[in-house]
Amino acid sequence: MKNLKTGIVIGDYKLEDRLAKGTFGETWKAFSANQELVAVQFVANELYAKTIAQSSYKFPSTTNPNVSKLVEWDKQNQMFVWEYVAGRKLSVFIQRLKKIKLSIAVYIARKILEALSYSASQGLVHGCLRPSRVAITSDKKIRLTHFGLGKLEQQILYDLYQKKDSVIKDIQIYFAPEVLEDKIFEDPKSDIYSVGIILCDMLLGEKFTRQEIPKKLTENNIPKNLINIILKSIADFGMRYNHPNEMHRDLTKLLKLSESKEKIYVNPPVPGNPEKNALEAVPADSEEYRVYQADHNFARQSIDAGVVVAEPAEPGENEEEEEEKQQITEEEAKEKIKHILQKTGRIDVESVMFGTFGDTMLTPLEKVPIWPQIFIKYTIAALIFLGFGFFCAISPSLHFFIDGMSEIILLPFYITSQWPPHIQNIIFWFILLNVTALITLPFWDWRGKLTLNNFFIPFYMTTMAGLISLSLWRSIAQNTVHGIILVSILLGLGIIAGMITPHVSRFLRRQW
Amino acid sequence: MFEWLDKRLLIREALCKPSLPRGRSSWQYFPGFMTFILFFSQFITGIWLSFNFSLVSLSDHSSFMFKLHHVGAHLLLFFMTLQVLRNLFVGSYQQPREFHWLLLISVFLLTWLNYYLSLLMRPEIDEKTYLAIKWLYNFSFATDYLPRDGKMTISQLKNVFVLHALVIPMITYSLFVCYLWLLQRTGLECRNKD
Repeated sequence: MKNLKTGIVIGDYKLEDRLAKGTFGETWKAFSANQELVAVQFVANELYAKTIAQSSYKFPSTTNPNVSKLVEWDKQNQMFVWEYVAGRKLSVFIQRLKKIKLSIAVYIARKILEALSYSASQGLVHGCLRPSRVAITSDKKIRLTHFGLGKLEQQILYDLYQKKDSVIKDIQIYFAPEVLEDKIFEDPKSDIYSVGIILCDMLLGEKFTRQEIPKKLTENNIPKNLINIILKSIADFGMRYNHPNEMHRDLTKLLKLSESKEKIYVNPPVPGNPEKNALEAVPADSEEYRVYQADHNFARQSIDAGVVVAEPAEPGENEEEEEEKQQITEEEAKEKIKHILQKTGRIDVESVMFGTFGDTMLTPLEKVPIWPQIFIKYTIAALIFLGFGFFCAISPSLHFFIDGMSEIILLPFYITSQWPPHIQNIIFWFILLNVTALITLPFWDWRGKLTLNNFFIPFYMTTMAGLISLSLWRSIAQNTVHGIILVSILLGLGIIAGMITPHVSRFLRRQW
Repeated sequence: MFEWLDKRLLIREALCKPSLPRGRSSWQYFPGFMTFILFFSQFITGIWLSFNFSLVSLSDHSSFMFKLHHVGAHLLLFFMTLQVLRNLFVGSYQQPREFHWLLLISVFLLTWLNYYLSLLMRPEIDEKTYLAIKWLYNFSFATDYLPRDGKMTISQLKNVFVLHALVIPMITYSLFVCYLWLLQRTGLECRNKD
């Protein structure tokens, strides 16, 4: 990297002051030719620079106030030019304050999620979110910096991780496992994971591993509801929140906020001193960290932001009113889901299988007891099925239902019994292999990729359906060659089904 | 009376404590519920048939209890298959529910095995049943238990009866109870990590 010092001109920018020395290089405050303040990040890491240099990438433009824009990538000087954000990094706050108050931490997390939600709607992913990429500005806003590289940054992180490069040792915890291990890039879920870890960072104020998070949060008396939200945000890919809006909604519901009343206090202002009015990183137990309108139960802390603290939820208070406000119509839910699916392009298998599209946007944290409604509903349905079974048992005319079921169950055996013994043995070992795979499923599919795999499920279902249909055709496969040809045709049909199903489902979703 | 029972058996807690996440399709838990009911019914009808076991009763399929047991077996297989498929597609085998899945699959396979064994519980085997079990003759260790010339001997019937009515149900019900206990500990599957 060049010998950088104040006053030198690199490209179109004159360096003013070094802001930070980061994982991948140094960041300097600089002035552009138009005397506009920018932040210039010099890339020192070779792999980082090489990957960016080799990629053809269109830097997206974004004008969201919560996001600091990428202005330029100077290939010759290997530097990024970012919009300058005046403020302190969240990492500084965490370092100085150790533990950030719960209400403030949740406020910051919500603001980050709002920024991510906007970006996700534009098809953007931050990709490298961590406390040093969150700035708290002098006008008390939360801004995400270094926004624009997304997939590129994740690719670099993946390469560094695979090479076990120690440069990312300290920041590795902020990145989702699917980014570092499975090369799943450009998914908003990876940013949600990062927000969860940032939230833990703010609440715990100490180093931790992912496995220690539940224990440490409990030891620090974090409310169980918030722990649940955090655990869901850092869960495995298949179990995580799908969109920043979902986590934002859960945090909002947790604190029973409304947008108009959302306020936060951190430090009392010092009149007449604009510098002091900025958020200062002061220790939580210091004299300066005073409490406005002291209410220790609700832990309000004040800065001059015109905003009030997020109050913890009181159980049993106006729950019905809140429920009514938060219920959305099915049409609204469908529109929202359609929008999200179009942007994220994922199939929610669970929703497809059990028709919960309309319910997906409702809060997942609330639970309803089984007794009495669901139990009564199930009992009536059970009585209908048992009644049907009872009449099948006593009425000779209804016997064919049950006899038909026996036939269907045993038909594969009927048909394979006519095949040569060595083919029967092959079928037997094939079934044994499938059964073993089924039994050991949790241990080789712990990330739930099977349920998210758009190829495997249609392939398997088509092949099985074909085998069952084949077994209905009794006169077939009189010799080995027939059997092999037919099984090969089935496998081919299964592969075709697996390959075209994602396209069909995307087409249907667009229509729907 | 109910209060006396509730204090000792914690009935209210057992009924009211289980809960489902709001807003999810509540019918997806129905196959599990039906499986539970049908296991119970198979247990009752199975015991009744065991008490009335004889060579004659094995050939006579006209008794009401036998028909109930026969119909119940098919419904049980149907709902159990639905339950396994539901768990597969929803991903309920992921952590922390790996043991749920292992137990469920074990119960599932044992139930299918028991169903298959029930085909052999008759003194004379018809042609369809013979076709269904024909592939077993490929395995030398199984031939002692299989019919010869379409007939089952007394000792073969006894072995099959012990397996079908005693050994496999004992293992199956033990695993099923373990499954229910684990379910009670972790709660019903929901989108949140419990």
